[in-house]
This record gives sequence, C-alpha cells and structure tokens, in this order.
Amino acid sequence: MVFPVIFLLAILIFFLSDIAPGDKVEDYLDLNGVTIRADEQLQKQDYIAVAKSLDLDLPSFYFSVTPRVYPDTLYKLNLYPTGKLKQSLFKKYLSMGKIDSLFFNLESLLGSIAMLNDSLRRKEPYPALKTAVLTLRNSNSQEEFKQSFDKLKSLKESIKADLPGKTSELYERIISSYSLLESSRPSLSGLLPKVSFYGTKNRFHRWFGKVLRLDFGTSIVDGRKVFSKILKSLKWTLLYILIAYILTFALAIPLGIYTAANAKKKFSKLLNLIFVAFHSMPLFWLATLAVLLFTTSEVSSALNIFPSIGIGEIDSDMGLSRQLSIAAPHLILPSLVVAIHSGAYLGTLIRRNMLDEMRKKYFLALLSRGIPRKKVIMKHIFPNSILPLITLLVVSLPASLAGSVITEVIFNIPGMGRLLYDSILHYDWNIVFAIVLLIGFATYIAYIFGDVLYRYFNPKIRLGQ
Amino acid sequence: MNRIAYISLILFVLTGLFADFIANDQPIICKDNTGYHYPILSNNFNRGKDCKVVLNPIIRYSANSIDKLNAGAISPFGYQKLKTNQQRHFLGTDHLGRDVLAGLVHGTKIALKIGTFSMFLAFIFGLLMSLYPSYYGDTGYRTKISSLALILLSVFIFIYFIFYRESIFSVLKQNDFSVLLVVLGLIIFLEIFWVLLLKIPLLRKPVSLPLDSFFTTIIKLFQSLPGTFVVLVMISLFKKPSMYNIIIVIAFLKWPIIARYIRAEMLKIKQERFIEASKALGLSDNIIIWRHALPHVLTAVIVALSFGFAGTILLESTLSFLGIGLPVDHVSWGSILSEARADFSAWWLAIFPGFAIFLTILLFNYIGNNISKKTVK
Repeated sequence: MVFPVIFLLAILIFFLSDIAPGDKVEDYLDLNGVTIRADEQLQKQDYIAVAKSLDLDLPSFYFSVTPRVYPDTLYKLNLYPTGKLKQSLFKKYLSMGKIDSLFFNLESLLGSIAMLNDSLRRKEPYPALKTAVLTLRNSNSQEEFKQSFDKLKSLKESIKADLPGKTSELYERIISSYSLLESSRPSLSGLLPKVSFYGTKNRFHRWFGKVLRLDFGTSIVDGRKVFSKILKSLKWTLLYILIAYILTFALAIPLGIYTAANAKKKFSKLLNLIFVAFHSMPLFWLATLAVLLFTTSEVSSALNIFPSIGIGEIDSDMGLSRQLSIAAPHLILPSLVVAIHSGAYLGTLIRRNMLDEMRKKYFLALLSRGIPRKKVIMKHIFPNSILPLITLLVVSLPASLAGSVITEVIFNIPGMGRLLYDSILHYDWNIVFAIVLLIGFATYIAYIFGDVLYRYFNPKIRLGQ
Repeated sequence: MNRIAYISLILFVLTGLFADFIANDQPIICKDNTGYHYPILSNNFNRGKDCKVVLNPIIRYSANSIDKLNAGAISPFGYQKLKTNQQRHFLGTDHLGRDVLAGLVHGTKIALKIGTFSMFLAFIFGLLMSLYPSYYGDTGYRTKISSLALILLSVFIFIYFIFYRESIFSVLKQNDFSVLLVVLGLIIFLEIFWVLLLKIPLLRKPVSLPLDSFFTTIIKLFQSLPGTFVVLVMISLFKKPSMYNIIIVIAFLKWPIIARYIRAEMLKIKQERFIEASKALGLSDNIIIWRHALPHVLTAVIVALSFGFAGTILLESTLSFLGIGLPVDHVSWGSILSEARADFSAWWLAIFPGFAIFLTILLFNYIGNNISKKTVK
C-alpha cells in the first residue's frame, strides 16, 4: 500500500507545483546571474538551454486528454520565453497559425526597428513603439496582453505612412493579424476529446524518478541542493520537537491522571481550567508572550532568565556536539512553550477519557471487591483510557513537525518550519513541495505505525484473532 | 456562565456587523446647508468643512487611519498629543500611528466574516460529502452497472469542461444557437448511451456501491492533513492575496470535521423508529433524508460549526500573524500581534489582540461544549 500512496501524493504535488506562480526558467536564470544579455538572440538561447535542462520540452504526464484541435506538440512551447503566452492565447483562439503570424509580425517590427540607425531610433514614435511591442510580447496573461495591445493601438496616430523601414506597413500588419486572430472561428467538432499517450518520456516520470532518489532539485535562492538544505534544518526541528514531545508526556500524563482521579477537588478543577485556558491560547500568542516575558527585560528583569531568541552563534564548520552545546540553552524555551500548549490539550483528553471510563460499571465492580482505588485507576482505568489516544500520539509527531512554522518563526530557529516559511515568501517552490511531500509521507507512515501500535496494545484485537 | 457566554456571543456578532460604525474617522451623521449626511454609508461622500458633526462613532479612528502625531507605538498610559480627550488612543497606537482599539474592532469584523463564510462553505461541502453516503451505508445504495457507467461518463464530461472551459466558451460564444445545440446533443448522447447500455443484460445487474467507506476514506485523508501547513502552502499558490482565498482554503480544510459530525449523527438517527416507519410508509429516500433526518442532524452540526468557528479564527489569525494571506491594508488581530514581534517593548500590541483571539476561541469552544452536553442528554 505504501507505494501507491506515494505515487498519488507525488502526482498531486507535481501538478500543484506546475500551477505555482512564477516562471521556473527565469528563476534559474536569475540564480545563475544571467539576467539580461545585450543580444536578445543569446538570451533566448540561454532560456532554451535552461528550459531543456528542466525537461520542459517533454509532455507533463504519461497521457493527456485534450480537445482535438490542440496540436500534439503544444507542450514544446514551454521551451521558449513567449511559450506560456502563446499557450494561453491558443486556449482561447484555438489557431496556432494565426498566433504564430502575429508573433512573426511583432518580431519583424522589432527587427526593422533594430536595423535603423541610432539617431532615427531615438526619435518618436520608435521608443514608444518598441516598449509597447516588448510589453505585448512579454505579457504574462491574456488580460495583460489585451491591455498592452490597446496601448499599441493607441499609438496609431503617431505612426505616419512615410516613416522609414516600412514601419507603418509592419504596424498595420500587426493590427490586422490581431483582428484576424480575434475573428477566428474554430469548429465545434474540434472540441471532441482526443487521448494521446507519451510513454515514459514525460516530465512527471523523470521528476518522480529523481524524487525516489531524494533529488528534489536546487533551491532558487542560493542554488544549494534542496534535500541537503532540508536535512540541515530538520536537525534543529527534530531536536526541539523531541524534547517538547517528551516534556508533553511528562506534563500531561501525571496531571491528567491527577485531575481525573480527584475530579471533585477544587484544586483539580482549577488545574482543568488552566488546561482549557492554555489549550485555547493560540500557540503564536503563547510563544510571543513567552519571548516577551522570559527573554527580554521589558516587563521585569527578574524574569529574563532564558537566553535571547535564535540559536546562538553557530558556524557550519563546527562539530555537531559543539553546535548542540551552543544551541541547547536556546532551545529550552521553545520546547517548553510547545510542551505546555500541546500538553494542556493532551491533559484534558486524558482526563475526559478517564472520567468516561470511570463511569463504566467495571470500575465500581473492582472497587467493591476491595481493590484500592489508586491501583484500579493506575492498572485498569488509565490503560483503557490511553488506548484510543495511541494513534493520535503517533500521528501528532509529523503534525507537530508541520506545525513548527509558528514556533520557529517566533523563536528564530533555523529549522524546517522556518525554511518553509522563507521559501514560501521567496516563491522557492522546489523546497516548499519537497517539504510537503516529505511531511505527507511521514504522516502516512505515522498513521500506519499508529494503527500497528493500536493493534498491538489493544488486547481485544491482539488476543481476539 | 451560560448567560455571559451568550451575551459575549451577541456582542461579538454586533461588533463585527457594525464595526464601521463603532470605529471610524468619519462621523456617522453630519449636517450642512443641504441637510443631513451619512458619510460612512456613502463611500464616495466628500465631507466639506462646513458639514457639522451631529453624531460621532465611539472610536474616532478607522483601522487604517494614521495618526501622525502619535506614531511610533505610543502606550495606552503614555503621553499622547491630542486635541480633545475623546480622541485618546485607549489601547495605544502601533508603529505607524494606527489606533489599536479601532484595529481590534476591524479585526472582529474580519474574524466574523471569514469565520461565517468559511464555515458556511464547509457546511455545504461537508453535507454533500456525508449526507447520502452515511444514510445509504456500504450496502444500501444499489444501482445498475449501466447507471454507474453513466455517472462516470458525466463526471468525465464535467472535468473535461472545467479543464478546457476557455476553449469551449470561445467556440460556443460564436452563436447562442450552438450552445443550445451542444447541450441538446450532450443530453441525447447520454440518453442513447444509457439506452444502449441497458440492452446488455450483464450491465443490468444491480451492484451495491460502498459509498460510505469510499467517502469516509476521503474524509480521513483530508483530516490527516496538517492544518497550518497546508493552509500556508495553498494560500501561497494564489497569485494575489485576498480574503476570499483564505475563506476557500479554510473551508477546504474544515469540511471533514463537519462531515464527520453529520455522519456520526446520521448513523444514530438511521436506527430510530421513525425512520423505519417512514420507510414502511413507502416514502422515498430523498424525502426521508431531507425532511425527516436532516433536522435532527443539524442540531449536531451546530456543535461542529461552533468548534470549527474557533479553529477558523485561530487559523486566520495565525496566517495574518505570519503575514501571509490577507492583503496588507486589512488590519486583523493577527496582523496587530505580528507588529509586537518587531518591537517587544510595545506590550499592548501583543496583549490586547491576543486576548481578543483567546477569548473568542474560548467562547466558541465553550458554546460548542455546552450544546453538545445538552444534546447528549
């Protein structure tokens, strides 16, 4: 069952990453520092080379279902800077020939402007014309395309028939090819579906193959490998999450048992109220208050007992033990905050489950046999009440990995949540989707593991069959 | 306790609904030569100097109005440069000089809006995904294989339409007649397909669809998604920040909870005698579900909606705390709190919005608990 789930998850994430905003090729060009070349032809070549290295000249999946008018090679347009615009125009006008002729006319106008001598080129209407054509060609969506075309049309009066280099003729040709495009009348039968198979030579197949080898590509922020970046940050997250996890149990189980066993005492009622309060407090507020109280002297200097946020000054060439010894004091407060927040929730759950269990008849029966109340609660009530929580406990580990975004942003820990947050702000999709895939997979594994544990610990299932 | 809870609920809703009248830098009513004016109601009303104020809002600031004299995070107890005492910033200002109290009122409006709409969407979706499956169970829904094929075909056509809607629209837009033609053609095609399928004896065989386990699997799958994380990623996929994105994403995340409540309740009600009686009377399944079972289910759903509302407010404030999702000019509880992160000396930026979120979550959790206790009895 594991492989199909990974496969489905991968398909989902692959197509999500496909619709993520931004142009991947340009991100890579930016990363390599090749932003603008003087020669447009060279820039185009750069673009094509990067696009090829990203497998953009391949179809996206094993097969596709498209209307019949769609050409087989529509995906190949991804190779060119204008490809996305052409594809989106094609979806509307359904005629590649007319779109091509429009773009050809645009290019030839640009070419004819480039052929003119310098003094002529600086005079109006040439600069305005050139920028209008360029924005038209580089527009990202149909609306932008339409707006820039209106701008181009508004230049009509400044373009006179006697301008050198056939400018007005080329301009007229652009206008007419656009109106031709708008008036194109695709036929109804072209909408019937057509299935085309591409075999294993497709983008998803290659991407999935790489993912199975844990190669998620490179980050567009600094060009490092995504997986090594994630591993590096995961170290910190795992460290404080594990501490928090242990603290959560240490906090929730004794207090949960206490409040349930002495449910009628005023003190345990108060404790329960505190549980509910902490659980209703948003984690980010709790964390902000903790930072405010315990790491700064703003409120009172006596409470400023923890080191400031961040994980201290750590060089990557230090040894692991040295890094840990520097970071450890900084990680105490975040793990405490997480532990209190989730421990309060777990405590109320344990209390409620135990109270439910204590209402059952076997509790009364055991007591009436003369077994001490303490023993009954510890040996019978507690195991029974914790049983339904086992799956929850196991599953909450990957969930807390995912939930670490808030804690890490507030406490400035360079962990995985922080990495995710920064990557989202930078549109670094490779990292974002790698983390999504890993977390999704971890959650799934945790579910299976929790199920196994539940079966193992539940005598009804273990001994029944 | 109960009375306090319901009074605060009413206060919360009223504050959210009339946020613009409570905190605004324009007067509610003003008077000049031409008569009375209501600057808040008419968006593009330009108030001249001779428009005399008749009625002012309680708080003289909008969430976005910047008081330059008191910029740089002035404490509620600190010295404020004011003309009249009524202009005092009772809860202080933030770094730009915006009033915190006005921000809280506006935040209430946003919380109410996002909570209500996303819960409504989640409720509709959860209802659709759970009502029929839970009523029919795994064996209750029996259908012919041919009908199944018809359903699958319609699903395919629907998805195809969604994917290529642009092309389809551009073809159909040429004349209205072709739209009619295509729709008619589709219906006739499906009819013929259906009739042809019925001719094959093998396909006439009834099968029972395991609706319940299919949809519970989907619900479980969605419930296993780590919430904050998925919302963060999904929000970032939208090109422009907007409140509606948040509503849709939160609804997408919260519907499984509501669907599960509906399912659990429906499983209970299915066993009741009156359902059996209506079946014996020969009522159709649709009437039993919508007219007899649904009203009982809805009381349970209120509990889920209440808890979901609390969760929604938490998610929304977390998002605006992280600065993702809402547009910059929308002041919400989370966005005020996030300013405290930049400067810890401004404690009022952390305490007040935090309390607002905390109390709202507590309130909705309490109401949910209360209703669920009552319905259990």
